[in-house]
Amino acid sequence: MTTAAPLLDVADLTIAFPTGTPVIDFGFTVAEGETLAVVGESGSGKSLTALAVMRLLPPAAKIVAGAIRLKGRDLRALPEPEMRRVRGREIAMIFQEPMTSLNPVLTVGRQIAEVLRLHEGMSAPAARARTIELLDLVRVADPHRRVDDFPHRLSGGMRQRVMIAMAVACRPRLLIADEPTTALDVTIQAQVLDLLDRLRRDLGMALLLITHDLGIVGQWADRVVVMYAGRRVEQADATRVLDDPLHPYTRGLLAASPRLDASLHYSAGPLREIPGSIASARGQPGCPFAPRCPLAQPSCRIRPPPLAAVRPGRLVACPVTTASELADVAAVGL
Amino acid sequence: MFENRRLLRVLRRTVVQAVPTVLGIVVLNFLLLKLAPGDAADVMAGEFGTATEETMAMLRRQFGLDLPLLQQLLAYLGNLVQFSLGFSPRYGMPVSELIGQRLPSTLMLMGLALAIAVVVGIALGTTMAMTAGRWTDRVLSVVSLLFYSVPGFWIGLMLIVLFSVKLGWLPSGGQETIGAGLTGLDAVADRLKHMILPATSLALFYVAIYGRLTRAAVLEVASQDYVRTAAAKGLAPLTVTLRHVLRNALLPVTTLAGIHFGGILGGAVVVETVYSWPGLGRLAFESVMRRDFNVLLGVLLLSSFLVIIANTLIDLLHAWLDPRIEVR
Amino acid sequence: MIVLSKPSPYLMVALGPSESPIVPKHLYDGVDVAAPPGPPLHIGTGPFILKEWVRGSHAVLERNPNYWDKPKPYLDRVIIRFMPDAAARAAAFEAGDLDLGGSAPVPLSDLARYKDHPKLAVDTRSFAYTGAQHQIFFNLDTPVLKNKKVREAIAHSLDLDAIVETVFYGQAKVSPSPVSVALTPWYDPAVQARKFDPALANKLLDEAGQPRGANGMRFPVRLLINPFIDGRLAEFVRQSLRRVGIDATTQNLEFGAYVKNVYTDRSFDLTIESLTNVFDPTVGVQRGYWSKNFRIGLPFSNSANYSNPEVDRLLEAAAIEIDPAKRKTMFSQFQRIVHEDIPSVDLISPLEIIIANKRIRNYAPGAEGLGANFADVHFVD
Repeated sequence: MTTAAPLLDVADLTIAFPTGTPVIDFGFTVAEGETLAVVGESGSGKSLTALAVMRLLPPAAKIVAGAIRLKGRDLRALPEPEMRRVRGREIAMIFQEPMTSLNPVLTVGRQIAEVLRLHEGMSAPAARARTIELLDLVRVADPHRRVDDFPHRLSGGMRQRVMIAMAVACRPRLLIADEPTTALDVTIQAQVLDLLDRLRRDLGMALLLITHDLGIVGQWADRVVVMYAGRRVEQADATRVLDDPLHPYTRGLLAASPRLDASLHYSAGPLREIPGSIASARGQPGCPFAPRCPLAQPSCRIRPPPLAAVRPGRLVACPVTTASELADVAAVGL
Repeated sequence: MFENRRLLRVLRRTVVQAVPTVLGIVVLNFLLLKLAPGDAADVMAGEFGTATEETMAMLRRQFGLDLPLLQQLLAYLGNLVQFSLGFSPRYGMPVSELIGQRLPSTLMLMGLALAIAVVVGIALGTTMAMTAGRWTDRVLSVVSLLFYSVPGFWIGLMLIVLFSVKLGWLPSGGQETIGAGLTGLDAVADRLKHMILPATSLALFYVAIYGRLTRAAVLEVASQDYVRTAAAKGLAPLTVTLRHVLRNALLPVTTLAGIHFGGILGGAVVVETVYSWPGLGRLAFESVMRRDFNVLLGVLLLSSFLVIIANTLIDLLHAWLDPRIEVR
Repeated sequence: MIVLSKPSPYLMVALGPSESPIVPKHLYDGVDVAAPPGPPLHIGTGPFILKEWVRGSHAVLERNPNYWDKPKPYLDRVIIRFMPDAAARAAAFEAGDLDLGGSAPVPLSDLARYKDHPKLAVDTRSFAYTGAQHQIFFNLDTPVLKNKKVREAIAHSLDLDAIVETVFYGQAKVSPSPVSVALTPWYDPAVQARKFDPALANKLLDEAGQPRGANGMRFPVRLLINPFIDGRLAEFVRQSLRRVGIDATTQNLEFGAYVKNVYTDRSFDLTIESLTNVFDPTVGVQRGYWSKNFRIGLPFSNSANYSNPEVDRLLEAAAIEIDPAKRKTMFSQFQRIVHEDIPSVDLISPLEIIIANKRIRNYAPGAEGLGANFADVHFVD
């Protein structure tokens, strides 16, 4: 793997609400130009983590521990005006709901141009011209006309393209896409993900893809971090995770996901859902997944299992499934 | 082009709908007013103190009060068709002239009051919403509650006591410096000076309403996804509020302000009385007291026109504020 | 030249300028004065000329250079402002925006504040030309009120001095006769108020066959009040009546409804009225007691439906009697009979209150009060 300093380094992040701690000791890194997928079901804390990176957490949520570094700069310590120059310029973000993420009373052109005028100091005509280029870039047909349209005249997929155009307008180093396709038709999903992937390569930016759908990871992500109840439970290269999931939760997720890229897994059997709900993790002294885990041992319920390096670049927080592998690793003296 | 055609269609439809509405208003008001005990002759004779039955009969004959109700109504409608609002026996002059005297000053006063209320109310509400839960919000909430609950005449009197009696900065009442013979800019400045206190007294109540409404609307809009999008772009909070929140939050405020604007001609009897302001509110009120129903019907008729106009304007304003709204 | 069919002793007084202004013949000759729109009513022979009249706001009077009584008038200009709110008038006085005001210029409760004012003087007087008078008229068609003992009891239940002090803050005089004490030439001082004596009132009511019921009340009455009178007077009367077991309910009506209720519908039992005596009993008092003036639908007529042939005779004779001494005797007799018959309980005569800039002189030189023509009004330093 790369040895250069990562673009984004999130370490030991803990986010607390007055009522609970949805993100605990969470961490990951994103290298320049790569796509990292953070996968977990709703309520796992992945969206909060993304908002924490943007420093846009809701007022009740507080980062109580951890570090967020962008190219070595500690974003947590940045004064707010400087953080505003990071948002939209160095890190951009798109959201799950394209239907509601655009301001209904402003034309899409104006909303895209706004970010150009803010960060690039463009004049109104220049920003407009660039906006049309961007709309073209994200494959919005007839950008000259669309630029003056209000969001309600556009389909969901079109709106997400507008959101993407807005996000990449200032060529950010990192694009955070929080469930970018969840609200879209399946046929549109692949188009949008293809678009994101193409822009990543063309613009040389990294992509932090937040999703609950392990099925889309294989084709579009380089690496995967699996998140459960605020904790990192598994991390690996995308292909590894799909081919050989180690954590029982990852296995459950995989069994519950259809895959866009291959029909291969459908033949393996019907989709199965993981029994129970993520709410059962609340107040668990041990492994948060233990209440739902088919392999849970009594020892799992005592304290959260540590994240252990199973192979280079591969971390898993389950002593049960990794016992044999760990033995191997110990033998070779990793 | 399309916009203009749409606008014309709206106007034509408004006019077509207005005719039966106004006719209904006139007939209904006419009949309602006739239900009031006593007529103009009773009141006038009462005020003379020493009237005779003959003078009363003469008054009734002159005012047309001796005719059957239906005939009175038809006579009034006949006047209207000829664009005449009739004659005020009480003031001895045509109603249109009487209303015409008071219309400009009423429109100016109420317009200024509502303008102050809308601007200050929205600013107040936005400030409260942006500091929601903090002490600024709490202090302003208490202040707006005060504005809302303290009666207008009291605020009016207190403002007079402070700014006219104690400080001597502003006149205590009236609409101009009488007999000063001011012209041009001086006259305008003089008028404005006379309008400040009554307009403020009137506005405070509406400031409170618009403030509370804006606060609630801004808070609601602030939790919308597109506001998060705006913040994710790196916009400063004030820009987010002004550009992305406020315009979406303005709909309920403009709706209410439109309703209030439609009621402008009813004036504000209390404030007009406290400030000795010769407005339509007092004229209407006194007309009720004196059973001078031609005047009252004239004011009501004009008010209904204004309500219709205000509603149309608000519809158009909404369509402009929110592109999702098609003008119905 | 006025030709009379009968003598009219009060006519000379009625020709005072506030009651009978002189108008130009060339505008009024042959014109039906009452027909709308009517001729311009503001051309006269007075010391000032109407320059501007904004209805509901003000009127501006400029000095008449051709006034007959030179060098009067002394003022260059008089501005009359119409200010309907008493508290606002008070503020305008204090702000120095007003120099002169009459007819309760400020709320009575504020009056004390002006007593030691450096620039303003309070002037309280009665003016014989207005003859202000407040009285209660009984509806004699109401069965229970036909009994004179009941009316007498009501008269004994009212403390007129307390009314003067509490309702009118001392700015009134007890005026117990149908002819107001303000009308000094005609008021008969022998007519005195019935003593305030609730015990006697209770006794009279018991004797009248109106015992207290289970709730302590004897009978209900509807009490109305002319809305131009301070409503607290009605409250005072209501409480006084309840104290002797008369279940009085008040109803606040605006003027039009009040006039209709009392003079057309006669849907009242007691009404607190302000039958001003004007300048002469024939003009101002007779209307309320003359049986021929009981006219349904005519405001300020004989609301009691009082009828006494002797009273009728006296009023009719006094109306055409030119000897003042004889006339005074007739009116004295009239007052005593009415006081004995009790168709009304006469209460008080409110004082005219004038607030004036201390530098103003001669604003109310005679019996007309502020209704005089202002020719003599001037400022001193």
